[in-house]
Amino acid sequence: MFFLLQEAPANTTNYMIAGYTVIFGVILLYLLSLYIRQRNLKQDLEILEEDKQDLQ
Amino acid sequence: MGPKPIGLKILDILSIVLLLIATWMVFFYAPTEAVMGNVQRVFYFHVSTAWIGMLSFLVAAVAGIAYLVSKKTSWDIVEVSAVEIGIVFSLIAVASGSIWARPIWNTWWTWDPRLTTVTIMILIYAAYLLLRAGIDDPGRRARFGAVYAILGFLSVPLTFFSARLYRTIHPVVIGTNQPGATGAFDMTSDMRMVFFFSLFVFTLFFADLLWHRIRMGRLQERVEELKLQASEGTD
Repeated sequence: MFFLLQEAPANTTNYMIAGYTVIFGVILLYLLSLYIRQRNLKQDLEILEEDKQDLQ
Repeated sequence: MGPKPIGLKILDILSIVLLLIATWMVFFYAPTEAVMGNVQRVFYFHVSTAWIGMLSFLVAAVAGIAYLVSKKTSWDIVEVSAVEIGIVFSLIAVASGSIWARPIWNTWWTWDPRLTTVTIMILIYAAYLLLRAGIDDPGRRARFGAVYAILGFLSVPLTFFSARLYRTIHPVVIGTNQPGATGAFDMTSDMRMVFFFSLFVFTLFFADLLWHRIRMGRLQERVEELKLQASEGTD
């Protein structure tokens, strides 16, 4: 009967959801930033290499 | 920049699959902590992200030493990549810790020694990125960055040991908790397994991210070189 006397854990599910939303949200934002920066750099590189060929 | 190496492709897939498994384990395998309830599950990824933050700054310091010894710009790229990742993961650790603290400490934030030292650590590395951005000469920027990354690393052991050396309410996983630590708990074997698995998965994920970021750094270096050549050609 001991389990009947035990208190249930605190209801903190909302905080857990908020915590994991922040964790995955920031990771996804960082991955997106890496993708966008890389794409922009590739575009810059293409333009610069074209300019270099034109000059030669 | 050449095509993505096969090793990086494997690491990408492995990181995604293992991250999904770790997430499943956190929510469905790890038992619910008896007092704190579900918010305790934040602990697994909170500690893992904090670990990646500190590991990144260690990698940056080692890369800084390697740059000063070899003068190879590839080490400078490793260093700045590691610092950037370290800041992102340290911020995640702080934000997730703050959310955990609200129901457990009854506050979002307190100027406890661990929270104060981690804030100082993040600010030190944020200043590193800002100051680097202000130096145009690549050689000077790399030298400055290397010395800064080595000196800045002093803040990392200070942060790590702050919860062990000073009177704090922040609980510790390894070592003895301070008498005032609030939110400490005894890990069951299942919790320990999820915890160490999460640490392993995040370490692998860090290697994956660092590799991607270094490739981007090389691309950036090439673009800067071509821009310099183009500006010299027009002068």
